[in-house]
Amino acid sequence: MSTAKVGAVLVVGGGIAGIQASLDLAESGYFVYLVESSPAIGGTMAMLDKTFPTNDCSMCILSPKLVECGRHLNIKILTMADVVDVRGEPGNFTVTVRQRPRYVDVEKCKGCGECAEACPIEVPSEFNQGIGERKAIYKPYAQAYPNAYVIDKENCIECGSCEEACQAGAIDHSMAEETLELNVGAIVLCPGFEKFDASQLFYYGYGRFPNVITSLEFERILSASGPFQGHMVRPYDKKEPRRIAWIQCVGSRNFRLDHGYCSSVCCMYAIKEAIVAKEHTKEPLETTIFFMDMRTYGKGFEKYYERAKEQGVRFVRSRIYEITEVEDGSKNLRIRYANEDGSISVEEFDLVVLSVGLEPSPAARELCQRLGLELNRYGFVELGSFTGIATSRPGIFVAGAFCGPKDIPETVMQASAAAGEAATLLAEARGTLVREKEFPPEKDVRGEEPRIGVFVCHCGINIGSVVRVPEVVEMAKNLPHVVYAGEYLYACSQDSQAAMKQIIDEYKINRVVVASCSPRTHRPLFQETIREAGLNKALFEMANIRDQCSWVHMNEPDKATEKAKDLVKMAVAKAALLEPVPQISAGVTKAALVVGGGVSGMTSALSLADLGYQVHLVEKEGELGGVARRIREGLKGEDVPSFLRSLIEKVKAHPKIELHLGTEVKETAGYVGNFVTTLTSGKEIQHGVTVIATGAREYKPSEYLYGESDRVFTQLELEEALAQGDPRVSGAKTAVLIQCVGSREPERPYCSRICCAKSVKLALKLKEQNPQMKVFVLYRDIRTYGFLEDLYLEARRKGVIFIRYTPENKPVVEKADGFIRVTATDHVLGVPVIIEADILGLAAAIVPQETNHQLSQLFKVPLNEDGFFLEAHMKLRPVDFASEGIFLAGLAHGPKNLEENIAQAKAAAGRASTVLSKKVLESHGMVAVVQQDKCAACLTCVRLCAYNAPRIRNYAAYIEPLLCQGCGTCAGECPNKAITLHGYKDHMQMALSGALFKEV
Amino acid sequence: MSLRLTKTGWIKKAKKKGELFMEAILASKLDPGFFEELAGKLNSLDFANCLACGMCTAGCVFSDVHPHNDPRKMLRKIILGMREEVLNDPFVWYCTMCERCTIECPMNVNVAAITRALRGKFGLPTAGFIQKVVDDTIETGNQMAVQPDEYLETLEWIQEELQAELNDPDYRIPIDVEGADFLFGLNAREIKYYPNELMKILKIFYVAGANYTLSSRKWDATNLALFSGKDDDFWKITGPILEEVVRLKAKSLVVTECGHAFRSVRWGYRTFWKGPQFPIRFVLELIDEWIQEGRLKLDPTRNPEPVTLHDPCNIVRKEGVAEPQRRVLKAVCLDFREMTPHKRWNYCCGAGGGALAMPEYTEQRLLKGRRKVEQLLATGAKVVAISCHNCMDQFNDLNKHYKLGMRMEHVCSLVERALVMPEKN
Repeated sequence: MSTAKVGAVLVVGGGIAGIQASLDLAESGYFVYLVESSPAIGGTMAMLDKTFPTNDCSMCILSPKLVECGRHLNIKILTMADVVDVRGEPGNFTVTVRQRPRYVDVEKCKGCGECAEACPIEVPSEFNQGIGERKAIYKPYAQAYPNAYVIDKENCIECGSCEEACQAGAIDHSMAEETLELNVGAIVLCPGFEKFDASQLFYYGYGRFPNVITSLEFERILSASGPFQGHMVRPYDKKEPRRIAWIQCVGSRNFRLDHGYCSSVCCMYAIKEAIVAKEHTKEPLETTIFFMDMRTYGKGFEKYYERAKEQGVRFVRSRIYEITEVEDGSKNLRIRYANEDGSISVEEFDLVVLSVGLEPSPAARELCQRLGLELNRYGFVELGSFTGIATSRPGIFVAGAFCGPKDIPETVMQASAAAGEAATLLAEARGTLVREKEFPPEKDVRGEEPRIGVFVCHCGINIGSVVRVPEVVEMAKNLPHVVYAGEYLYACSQDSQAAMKQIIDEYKINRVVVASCSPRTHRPLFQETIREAGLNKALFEMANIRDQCSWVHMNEPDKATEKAKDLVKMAVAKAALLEPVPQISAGVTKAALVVGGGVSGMTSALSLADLGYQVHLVEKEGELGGVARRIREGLKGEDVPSFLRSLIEKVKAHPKIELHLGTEVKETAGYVGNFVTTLTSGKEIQHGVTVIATGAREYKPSEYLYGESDRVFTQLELEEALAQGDPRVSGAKTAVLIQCVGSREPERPYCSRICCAKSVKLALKLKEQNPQMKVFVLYRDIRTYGFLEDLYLEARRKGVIFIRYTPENKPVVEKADGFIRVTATDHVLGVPVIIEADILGLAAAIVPQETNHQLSQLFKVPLNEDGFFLEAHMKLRPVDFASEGIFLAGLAHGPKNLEENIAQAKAAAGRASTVLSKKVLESHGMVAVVQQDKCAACLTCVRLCAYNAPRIRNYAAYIEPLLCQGCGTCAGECPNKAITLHGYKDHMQMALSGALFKEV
Repeated sequence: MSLRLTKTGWIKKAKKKGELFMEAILASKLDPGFFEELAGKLNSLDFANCLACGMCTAGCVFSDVHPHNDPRKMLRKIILGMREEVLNDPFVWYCTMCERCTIECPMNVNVAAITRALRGKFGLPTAGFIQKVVDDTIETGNQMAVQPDEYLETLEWIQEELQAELNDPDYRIPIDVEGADFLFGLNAREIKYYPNELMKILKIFYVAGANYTLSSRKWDATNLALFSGKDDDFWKITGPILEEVVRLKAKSLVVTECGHAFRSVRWGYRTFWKGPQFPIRFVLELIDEWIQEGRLKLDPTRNPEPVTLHDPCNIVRKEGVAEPQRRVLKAVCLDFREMTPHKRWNYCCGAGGGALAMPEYTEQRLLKGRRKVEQLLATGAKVVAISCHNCMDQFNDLNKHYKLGMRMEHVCSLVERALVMPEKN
């Protein structure tokens, strides 16, 4: 009865989740339809200024993805389109999509903006949150894909000005709505979220007081591409504020409005906005964040919070009752608030930012109802337990904030997981509908006189507000071999890329220099562009006039301009000497090594095996299951032991999974697509990818009488004791649970993330067993993020007593006759509470495995300061390592709950499948090569290489091109200069430095 | 150090004569049953949602006026199960039950409701002379213990006065007339002390041609059991006036300018009433409609001084009547000025929750009034319009105590002064 599976996937929603899911699927051999309701992809992330905790420019890291997604051969983007109906079954759905008319032909429009210049109608800009205007014909934002304008018919007066202005003849007022039928095998929903409408809370004055704004409005104010070009001013009078307050939990943790959940991201974004705001002004700026519990629970977040305090961001623990306007005409705001001791303060602020929560959009809710998907009480998609991504309808998966508020890394992770799961479902149809990327044949430029094109980027105001870009361009025009120089607002945007290709053709350019930002993020993009123009990608050079110039010399525009000129001169001098480098490719071993047999490892292994790849699952212990063997109940009350049993059975029974129990990795070599690993059993495994999922363990406390009294338990011990009916627990009349034992301490400055929810769950369990039991939870900040907040509420309603302590005044735990005396100061009454506890549960930290250091050296992958594995990029590559072909999942990456680990494990599998699905892999090109006759096989390069690329072959070093990341360390250190790095040869570098001193 | 373990388990130390401070809380003495008992008596567990966030502390404008007035601390003691401490906390009687602190509590806590339950449902002796007034009301049907003949005589006197003033010898105050548009519910003070005020209202009714009746049996709409928290008492007082509406087949019940009377009949109707349904309205809502309909001709130049308006919590914040009184004042005064804040966000006068019937807390009541005084002075008004008898007493006290030199008036008095009598035909 089942029909053939379709090798295409529908992705609904073009925010970062939809983009990531689309890219992963398209890279894994599936054709993708990306349906976006608005006129451009990018979602909320495109509106953000910086992103926590790295303070990366949001647009700078998103923009390459937009471009990649936009020009991917196997992603069809349908903007202004909505899903109307879905029929069929998993593997073969027919989807009806309605596409609203854009009135501008995307193929013809060059995004030049002449039409908007001519348009007489101004409308508040949605992208800028209503601050500032756009025209009735507009492009949502500068870097938008598609790089095409759109007519807002509601406001258009059909005056015809735009049609007259458009040279391309792209405007077509007669366009009509179209209905499309798409045939796909699976659906990934990523419709994102809407921000809470702050005007619902009258008392905060949003909409009444001009200087009360939302956090997203503040992002736009800070953004270089925002309404004030990044000058931090009040929208009301364009004055720079001196005192800014952030109010947390606006529309979150609000039982009255049935927004009881925590929006998870606002604590971090408020801290980020406060830090960034301080960077935006030379004058002193007071920043105050009014909060209840500081929920900096993610990886690296706690340190970010501590750093903010050091930088003078003030944190006041108080929920704000109301904001009033000062009557002196200043339009400043006054806040009367309660201090922790009950005293009252009144303060005045120039600007108040409301940290608005996240909620599902009505349109997305409606879509889900049409599709028959189960929603939770707040209207978010209800996830199937322990699936990480599954909705109640098979074949439809979900990722991002639509199944619960979450930040960008978790969104990206979930998107990869959903993509992986969709890929698994459609494994048999993989590769059936995709097309191959074909570049035009490379022009042979050898022997040609260099003809250099120089493209100088404004990067919004990132560069342009400091460096006088036109001067740099004029200078470049006079450099030797330069036949073209031009300036671009964003060199990386779709329109600039298109222009670049055209100019390369037009001017017969054979070497390209881009003066913009970091080659780290943007070189691959520009290289692909020149390949599309028929140039070898090595014929490209970049001058970093942003990170290394405008950003660091922002107060010295003259000198910065001179430096930018120097950097461009140098790049041009080198570019003249560039040579084409041939691309090296290799096949892929269609097998995976998964290290770690816990839930994460098993989940990754199963996903990859279901995709049809051979999996080797290595577990150092004699049995599978890891730390989950000690968990009895999930946070939603799930039966963990039976889940685990069935997972283990599936893994054991899977024909594609080979188990290696009681075994560890001894040696590993090779490179992405072609690894060879030797196990302690002596077995040698060939594999194309590696997933590290080695878990973590519970800290053995040295605090609070642990180990000195049998009444003191860790969380996991308490869970076991509860389940086993231990009389110490079942007979207890009073229980105390202490949070942050070993976490958020100088020696372990991170938050262990899961312990708050776990303790709340344990407290409820204790109350369930014995409703008369007095249960106290001593905490620093209750971090029950997202829907876990409901558990916290339930515990309070069941009479669990929560007492907050500070690190300066920790609970005192003493042994007494027949009980443990715990003394903590009540945070409201300021009085010690003396508790005679029968049992004491400690929320012990989650600590990294001791073996992480060995594994880190073995696989040449880094650890962070806390000893957890460090991903390639905290925001957009949450499960990749910098070393290609190696991925990470689960507690090895950092503390996470079971549900989150499962999502991450699926994500790692999804990412790994982008490698395994390839027939061949290509080298970076810029690799190091050994001149064999000069090599003395001294092993210097072998010892130095961070990526295990060099080895000795026939008495000389050989550098594996697919593994070489082109870092150049070996070339620099080789005592006999036997190693050269393509693109960085000595004479090129000499010319580059020489140019610094040449007058133009 | 005078540390000692008291019967209730708190270690206390006398610092000042007569004052006790907590030194420590013994968890073993905490009473989780108190929490459940309160939830049962409130018929709601929502107070347990409390996050101790401090919104109520900031929202209560009296929390920093005098000690023991912090709602968060009170809630905390409840959550902890400190039964004795809670019941002996002066907060129970200091709180004016104005509801400002938790009107928008994101956790849906209602401090006024909790205060009321603590006062009336845990066997506490009621403070001041509230209970005496309640008992009098139950016994005599009105809070001033006015006897029936005294009541009718007063009405008769008013009637005679109005006959003269209106130059209408046929003028009659309708009493026990069946089928009227509304039964008019009074505050007993209007009979006992302020017949002139009542006369002004009845004069307005006359000019507007209102089809109303008074009752001879149950005419006082006030109910101090709203503040004592004893529901049995409460219903014994409010039930009869609702029944009187039915007996007289009146189409609705209209309540005079008295906040807690209005609140009592409305809240009692919503909470306990099982009889036929009818609307309950505030007298100023009607006057506003009559003005709009042109049934009252008004000359605002007769009230030339700047006038500000006090929003009684029971009428505005709790019962949501905020706009009619403003339209009325704008029609009858030349210079109407709002206080900041106002309407739903107004400050309590400081005498809510029956404070005027608790003379032992006069000092705290007058201290609380400072917040209102600051508001009044900021308006520059000379006249304060007050649509509540209870608030009126507090304003008169504040006027004297803080030497404000303002004139305190009911809204109806201002209306009556502006009233242009129709030509006789």
